[in-house]
Amino acid sequence: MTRRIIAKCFDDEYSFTIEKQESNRFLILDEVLGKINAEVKYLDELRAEVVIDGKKYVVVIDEDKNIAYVNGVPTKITVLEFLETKATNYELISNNQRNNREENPGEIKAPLSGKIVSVKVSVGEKVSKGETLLIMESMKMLNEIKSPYDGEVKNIFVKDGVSVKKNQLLLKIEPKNTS
Amino acid sequence: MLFNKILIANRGEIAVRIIRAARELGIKTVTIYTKEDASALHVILSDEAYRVSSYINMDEIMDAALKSKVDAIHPGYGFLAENPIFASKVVKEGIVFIGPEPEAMVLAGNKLESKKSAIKADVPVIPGPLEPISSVKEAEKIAEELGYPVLLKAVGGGGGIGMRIVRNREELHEYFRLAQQEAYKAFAIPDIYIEKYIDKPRHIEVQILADNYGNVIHLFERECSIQRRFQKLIEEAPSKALMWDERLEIANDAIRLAEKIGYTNAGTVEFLYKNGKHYFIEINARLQVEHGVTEMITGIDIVKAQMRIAADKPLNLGQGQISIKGWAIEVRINAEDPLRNFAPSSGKIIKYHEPGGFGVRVDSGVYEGYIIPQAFNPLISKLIVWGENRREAIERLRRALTEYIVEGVRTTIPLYKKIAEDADFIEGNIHTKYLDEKLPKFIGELSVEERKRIIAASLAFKIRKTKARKSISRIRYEEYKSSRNLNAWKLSTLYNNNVY
Repeated sequence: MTRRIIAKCFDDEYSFTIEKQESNRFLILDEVLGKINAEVKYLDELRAEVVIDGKKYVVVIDEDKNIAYVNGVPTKITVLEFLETKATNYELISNNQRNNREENPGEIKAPLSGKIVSVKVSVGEKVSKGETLLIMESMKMLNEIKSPYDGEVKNIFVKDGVSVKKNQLLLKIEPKNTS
Repeated sequence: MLFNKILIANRGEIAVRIIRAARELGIKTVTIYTKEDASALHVILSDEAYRVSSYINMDEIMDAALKSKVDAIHPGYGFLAENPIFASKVVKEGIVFIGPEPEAMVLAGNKLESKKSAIKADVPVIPGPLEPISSVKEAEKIAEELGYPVLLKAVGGGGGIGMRIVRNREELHEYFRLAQQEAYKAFAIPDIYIEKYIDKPRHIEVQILADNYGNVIHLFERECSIQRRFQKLIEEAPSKALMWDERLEIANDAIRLAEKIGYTNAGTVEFLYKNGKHYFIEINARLQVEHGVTEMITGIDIVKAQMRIAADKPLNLGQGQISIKGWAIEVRINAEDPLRNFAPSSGKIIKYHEPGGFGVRVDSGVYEGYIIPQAFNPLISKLIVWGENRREAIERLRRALTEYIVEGVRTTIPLYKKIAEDADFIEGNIHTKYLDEKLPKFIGELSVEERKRIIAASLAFKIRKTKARKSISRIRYEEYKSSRNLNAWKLSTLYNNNVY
């Protein structure tokens, strides 16, 4: 099974897919680094040793600050995980919304179970690609759901404060070019 | 004894540097600190320390000086180091100011007056009028005469403030008022002057020492061409650019200028150098951050020399006794993240290990467990290496950077590792735009490592979630930080050793 990981470090976003090989071995497909083998050794609750391309990375997690010290380098990080993406043949998909589009163009679904913190758009509003549609909280982390294309908001099925399940339909956007 | 007790009106590595010189001379030290700095290294190492509300509060500093009955005050660099009002206040209380006379500070602070003095001392300067420019129209006329590009500079000071490279008439109109406003905000003097812009020069500066009896000597030059936004990051001595006769010519120009203006104590005369020509840019009337590289190649302790001069002693060395031995390079270790536009990185240093061995010197203001405050300049230490020649100095720099461990904050160390491997740096093909040109390449290389760190962290976060509940023994993060065994184990993993 392939999973997509989106990690936000400071203000930068990093995206890659991981596929579990054996118990603690993973095949990683990164848009910059390509195929990488990683082995994770879980040392205790707050520490793990990750070997990437033969180099050891000791990760120490400071829960209070949401910081991981990777070989001592403070790395402020928020990790979002998207299960069961349809990535096949190690073809990279830049975001989960694009995956949605292939099934039902215009449908924006919840990438994870969680709670809607704030809906940023209203019906009839023109949105551009990359614009934040809504913010949801999942596992105590905030995640911006962005529009995968230019278009117009057709329907909104959620409001602030409601809980949603993974893959629940959140809103519909009519893409500009296909209308 | 020169003095019984001195007060150091500064913080961090330079305060520590001055404490060391004083202690070797048998002089007691008094330091000052603000609320953020109560556990700073300079406070721990000094004999007495007084709390002040800020490092530029003259009245509180004078109170501390009088209360502790010091004979002299050393201002370090920055803060009040070049403030003639402070220097005058100190002297008025019968306390010795370890530095130049207030008059020299006033002159050095006025860039156009300094330039006029240089011309009087027959020292070459950059083409451009010697008066401030009042209007854009006038600026336009002068720029046409000099030929674009030209440089707008603030009469009131340096550090890149009010400084603008102007490549054409449109830019001149755009930047002139902006530069004036910037200068006024920073120095309370809006005056701007114009010089011909010299593209990709090398920055070369001469260290001088002058006693109160008219003796002036030079300690040869430093090259500080590796800069970012007019801030020096790497300095070396001597300069690879100079032939022996050029070296003496520049050094003698600096001496003539110092003599002409009656300069005393330690000072630096800065030049730009291009195509075999050098041009005076400014005088720094203080001890400089990068003084250490000169100490390494001449064997002269500049801070002690400052104290001797301030105590009215004549120079104990003649020019003929000073020679260059080997090569020295300094890198400024800043708590900044090169990957994120050098954003300051404050916080606790959870692991700290300084390099050592032959030819390695670290002037540091921090220690393991120290919390770097946000309020101050990001310089945490200076790594200075000495080698028999430039090649050995670079090899030693690489070795020392590999040993240098600072965990818990991000530093410029990874960037310096890249520079130390760069062919142009190794060849000495450097100029003041070197880093601007090379930075995208270095950052690109550093980003690869960053991606791997983020992948590692993400995997650790992910696995932790599934296993956290099963864990019986929970190691607190605090325990990790204090555990020596863990640290030793961790250190070995950083050096990529296997310890079982």
